[in-house]
Amino acid sequence: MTDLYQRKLAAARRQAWVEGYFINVLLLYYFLVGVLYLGLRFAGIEMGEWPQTKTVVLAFIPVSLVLTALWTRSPDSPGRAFIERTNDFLKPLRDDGNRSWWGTGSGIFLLLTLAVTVVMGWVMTEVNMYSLFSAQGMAGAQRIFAALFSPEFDIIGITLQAMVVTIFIALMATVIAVPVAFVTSFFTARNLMKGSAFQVGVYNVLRLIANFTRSIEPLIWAIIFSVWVGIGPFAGMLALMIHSVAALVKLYSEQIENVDTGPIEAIEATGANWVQVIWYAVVPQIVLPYLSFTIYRWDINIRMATIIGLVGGGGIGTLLIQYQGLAKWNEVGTMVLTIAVVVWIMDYLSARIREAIY
Amino acid sequence: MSGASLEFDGVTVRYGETIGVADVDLRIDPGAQVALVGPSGSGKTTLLRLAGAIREPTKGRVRVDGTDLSQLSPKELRRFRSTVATIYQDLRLVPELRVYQNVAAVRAGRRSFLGLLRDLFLPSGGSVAQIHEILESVGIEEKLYHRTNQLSGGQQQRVAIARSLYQEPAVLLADEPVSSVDPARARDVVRLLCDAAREREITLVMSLHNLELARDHFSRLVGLRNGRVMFDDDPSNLSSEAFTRLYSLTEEEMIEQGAHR
Repeated sequence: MTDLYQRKLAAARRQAWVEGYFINVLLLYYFLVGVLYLGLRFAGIEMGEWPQTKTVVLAFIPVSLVLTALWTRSPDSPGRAFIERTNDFLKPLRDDGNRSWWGTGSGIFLLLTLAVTVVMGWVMTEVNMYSLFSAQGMAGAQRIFAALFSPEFDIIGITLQAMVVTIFIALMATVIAVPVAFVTSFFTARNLMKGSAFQVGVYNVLRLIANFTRSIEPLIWAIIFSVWVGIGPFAGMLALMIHSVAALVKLYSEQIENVDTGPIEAIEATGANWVQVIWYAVVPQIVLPYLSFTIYRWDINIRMATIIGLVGGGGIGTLLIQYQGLAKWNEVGTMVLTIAVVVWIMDYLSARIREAIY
Repeated sequence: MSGASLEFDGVTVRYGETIGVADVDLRIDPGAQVALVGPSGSGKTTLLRLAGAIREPTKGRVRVDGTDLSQLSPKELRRFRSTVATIYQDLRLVPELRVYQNVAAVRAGRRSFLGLLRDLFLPSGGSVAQIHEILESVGIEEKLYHRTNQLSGGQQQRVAIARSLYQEPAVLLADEPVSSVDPARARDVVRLLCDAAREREITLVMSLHNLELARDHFSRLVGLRNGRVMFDDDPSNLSSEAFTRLYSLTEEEMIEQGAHR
């Protein structure tokens, strides 16, 4: 018993050292490259144009590896502190006392790294107060705002038509996504899929697919489908649908993972099989939250549908990008106003309906 | 359906290092009523779980009506489980369902998929009449269409009892069914269960914390302690020392408790 504990403890310590070292190496290397980037930038040199860049950046690798070997000996080094504080074995053994970690060398290093990151961000996003407030900039702002706030209502007919298409794109995407996600969610709920190795395998594969699909934004999906099925509402609907399935699978299966297990065991004990247990013990517990998530998703899909129209998803977005291309800002103003009103109404309705469900 | 016999033959259950029950031999006749008594952690729940085939013994055999439970295929196991009803301390009803749906759920194992669909949305006339009758026998027939989570604790307890009877079991297992009910109601519930089981000739095994209730309603008490059977007899043959010994703390336990304080 104690032997086993000691062995597990030693293994956990070794692992924490390796993982902590790895994190520390990455941090130090990132810091060094960041400082180099900023140093060159303030000397007026682009990093990519400086002839020694490759040599120095490569030289940083052994430097970080060696320095980190020394650094990781300290339990305060960020990598070790992070790993040891999140490991179940090592957590109770860590004694950080009352002293402030931010006051240690490692804490100060981390603060410096954060500072370097923010400054790099500032430089890279080309933050420029001059173009925001220069006379020329102001004139441009005035021109577009003036046009947007004096909308051209001659095109209200086609605008509303396109808006209706957009709403139905979102509706169809949701309607098709819900049953697919509903069925899939039972296979991606950990508590239902722990029976056999086969179930665990199915769970992992489906989770992976869902996570991957969800990490691709609907905008990208719309670009893919506008090539696949051609520009138009169908491409937009498919893009929203596929992303909705992935998002709903995650929400739904998390809901299943949080259901009360008592009734599940009780129904299982009466000799019910997997489907029967789900039908009587799981489904009743999840119907209302599912409904709420679904309405919320439709709400999101309406906003999304206007955006993906910009890249060929049909509806009001496609119309808007056409008029924007012609620089007809008054017409664009009409559309922006319509979108704002519709999104606001849908947002309000969705919130009220979800409130009523609970 | 009439009761089934239960046989525990040298049964041991281990949960890792700890012992659930140790070398238990027990025979319960069809239609008999037995109360399991003993302190917390004495193995009462483990015995019930063994009888319901929820848990397999580490050693030994459990036979129900002569059938060795370890020999059953998964399908046969599900069929067997449908003949054993369990009443849980925490009831384990689905709060969002209506009362008749909760009751109907215990026959899920015998329904076709279409039957399942219909049960949840459009209950068929025949089964609702039957459920109504069973709810009548536990005194809450007017709650047939109520949402379960709108019922009081006592009423939910009766739903749980009705549900176990609707299952038409051969064996009824009750795990501390009255531990969260006030004393007057506890007596009613135990009496209701005993009468219902007797009427239907169901074998009844109930674990109880309340010794008085066990003595008053059962003609056979099985005393468990640390997973072993301490006595197995008619309460009239049992001296009060037997009960004192059953619940008294061992020296070790006293030290442990002292250390906790």
